[in-house]
Amino acid sequence: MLFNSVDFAIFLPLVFFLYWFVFPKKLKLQNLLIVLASYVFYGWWDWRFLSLIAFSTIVDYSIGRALARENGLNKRNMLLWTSILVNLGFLGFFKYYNFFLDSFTSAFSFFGQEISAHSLNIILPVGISFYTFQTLSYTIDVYRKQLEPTRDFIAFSAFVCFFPQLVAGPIERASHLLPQFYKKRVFDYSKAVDGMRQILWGLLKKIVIADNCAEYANEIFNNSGEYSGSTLLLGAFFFTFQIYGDFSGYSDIAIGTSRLFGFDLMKNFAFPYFSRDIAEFWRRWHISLSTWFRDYLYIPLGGSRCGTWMKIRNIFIIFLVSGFWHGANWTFLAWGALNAIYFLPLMISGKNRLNIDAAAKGKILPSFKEIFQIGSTFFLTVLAWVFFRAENVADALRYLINIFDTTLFSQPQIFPTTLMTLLALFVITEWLQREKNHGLEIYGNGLLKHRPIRWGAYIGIITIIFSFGGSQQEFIYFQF
Amino acid sequence: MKKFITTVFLFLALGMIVGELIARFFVISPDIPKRSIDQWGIQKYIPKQFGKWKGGQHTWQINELGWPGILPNSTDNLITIIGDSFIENFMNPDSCRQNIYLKKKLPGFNFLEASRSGVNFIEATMIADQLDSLQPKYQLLYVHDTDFKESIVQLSTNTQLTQFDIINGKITKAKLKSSFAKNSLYACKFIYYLYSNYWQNKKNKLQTKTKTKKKEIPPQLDSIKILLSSLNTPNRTDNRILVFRPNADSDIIQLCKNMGYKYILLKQPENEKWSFDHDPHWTCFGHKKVAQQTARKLLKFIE
Repeated sequence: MLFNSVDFAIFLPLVFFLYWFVFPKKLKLQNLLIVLASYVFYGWWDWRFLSLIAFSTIVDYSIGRALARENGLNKRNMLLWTSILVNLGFLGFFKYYNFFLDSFTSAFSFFGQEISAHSLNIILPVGISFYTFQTLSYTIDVYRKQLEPTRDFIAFSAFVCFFPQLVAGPIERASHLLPQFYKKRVFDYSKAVDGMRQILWGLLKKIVIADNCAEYANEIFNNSGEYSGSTLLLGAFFFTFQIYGDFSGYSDIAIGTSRLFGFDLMKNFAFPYFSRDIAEFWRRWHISLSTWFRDYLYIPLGGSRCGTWMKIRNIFIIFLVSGFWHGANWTFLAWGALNAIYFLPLMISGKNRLNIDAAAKGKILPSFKEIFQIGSTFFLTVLAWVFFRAENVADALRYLINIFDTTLFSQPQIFPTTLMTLLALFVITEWLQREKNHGLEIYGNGLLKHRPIRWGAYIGIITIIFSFGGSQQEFIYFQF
Repeated sequence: MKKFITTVFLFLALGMIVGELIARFFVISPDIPKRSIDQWGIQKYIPKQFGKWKGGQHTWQINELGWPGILPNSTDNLITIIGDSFIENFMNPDSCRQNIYLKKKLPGFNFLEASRSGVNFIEATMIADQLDSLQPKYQLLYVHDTDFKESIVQLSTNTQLTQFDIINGKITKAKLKSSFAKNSLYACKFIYYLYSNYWQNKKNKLQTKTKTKKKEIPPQLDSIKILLSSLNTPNRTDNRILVFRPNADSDIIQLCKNMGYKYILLKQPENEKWSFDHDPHWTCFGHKKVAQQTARKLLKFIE
């Protein structure tokens, strides 16, 4: 079920009503309702893959229980690896089987050996990369004795399949989300209202920004040979906003929806395009995945507390794995490698933690230095997204080469004025809100403390969504 | 919780009011004429209605006979034009109608339009039967492949259309379903906008999806043959000309020809765009081109 669909507009109030009015005092029933609602939400897309979620839930719950009873290191290791193999096995089969097969056959044919291999017509289960990582975090935390294994199967099931973040995150840590299923939820007015605002902002990002940018990005990327360098650069710029609006919009709706049910999910985006260097960008983009890799891969590999070559190795591993997590294509690996190259100089020079706070903190306008830093980081990011969007590495390289030809300074062949105006308004609003949790968070004073103005702003946003919404498209991150 | 629910409802109510005001001011959804059902079981419009099309740039009108468009000054030397939403043509101003363009090409004739969206072949035939009383020289029935299928209960059941039951050889008359609910929906412009843009669109997409999933249904020529045979009387074929849209099914055309119908097959040149961007209906340009081709071929029949 898509967040930006009529189905969800009916589903959400219905579940909300049952949750708070039919089962308000029974925690177990509320959790059970979440499980059922989540299965309906997921099954709306393809009910056959519910068995995968159910299987993953049973395996990790059982392993968690077994880890609680077991003290011997060997057996604990075996249990941990069972969980990792089962979860990554599913992920590997559904997501990477054909990729590896094709890569092997291509490699053999390169050396003159023709081997026959049959790729399978595999459907990638929506959200498998997200819930697999979420359940893995539980087993690893239990294994590390950082988390008490749960005895409550319903709560654990709800944690695995919690519908707001099931298919595209944020990838929650068991230590953060699971305990919330044990506690009685109390309806919090201000939290719910803020959740509604965050949903509205997420819808604007998805329907107005991402879906409109998608139309132009698709046109330019699909016919890149016909366009000038300046148009190609604009196409990459549109994709940059498409992917941000799409994914951070989803996260906003997920976080906002969770708040309606009394849950707090982790922040997944913190206005990443206002970053002053790549290290800051990666602290602000897809935070739940970056921190997952940091905690479960980067630090176990030695992190930054090792020699220079090991640091370089670790950086490359984490960025390549992160790229590969996004999809079974060399383009994602190239995207990861390029980001590692961007990141390395900062890491080696020890300047990767220079910019921790929001840019121009406490001020309205940034300094010239900050403008330059933000602009150059944004430009590098735009170039990297070309690999992410292209069909293959050769296409991406051709696209980049064509950007930097003599036509770069010509007038773009496509220049949608309405969309550019909307993007400008969007960027200004996000800039003004950059120290807050989301683009529509309202606190303190200012004009928006008056209800008529506030409601006027909401109605204005809704009108923009209805008037300028692009044609409905699936969320990009569903395919990851 | 009470405060939250109250706030949400208040906001929704305010949103609806503002939405309605915006919808009416900018005419974001078109006015829809009210329908009635006549003694032959054909849905038509209640006469003398007026309304605005989306965007408010032009108005449509329903004439005294209950059909969209303007009536001719005289019924002498009359040629009727019968069809579905392509002829109903609410999306274009009255100056872009087939009767206007045809009149310009054939000034010696008067043209009367009788159309309603969704009209199928059997309904077009029955409308033509009614218009026989005006003693027209010719009756042009603008049809499409699907109009034949939609005329047969067994192929596409639709109780809102008059259809033919090929098993027991009877005509089932159309019913006017939930007209109060529909009229109420059309009266609330904002809700109608949401309904047509989100709910109906979604339903259409789903239908297209299921249609493509199903195996291609082979041409139901046998059923169409039964339909045409049952309607086949000399007075129904003598002065009636079927105007087929471009790329019509050649088997259906052949079947109609065998039954004695005269026909015109429209041809759309590749370099011409007859339809709107997101709407299959003809634009003014499309109507003009259609009328040019129709007039040219009609002249051959007249001669």
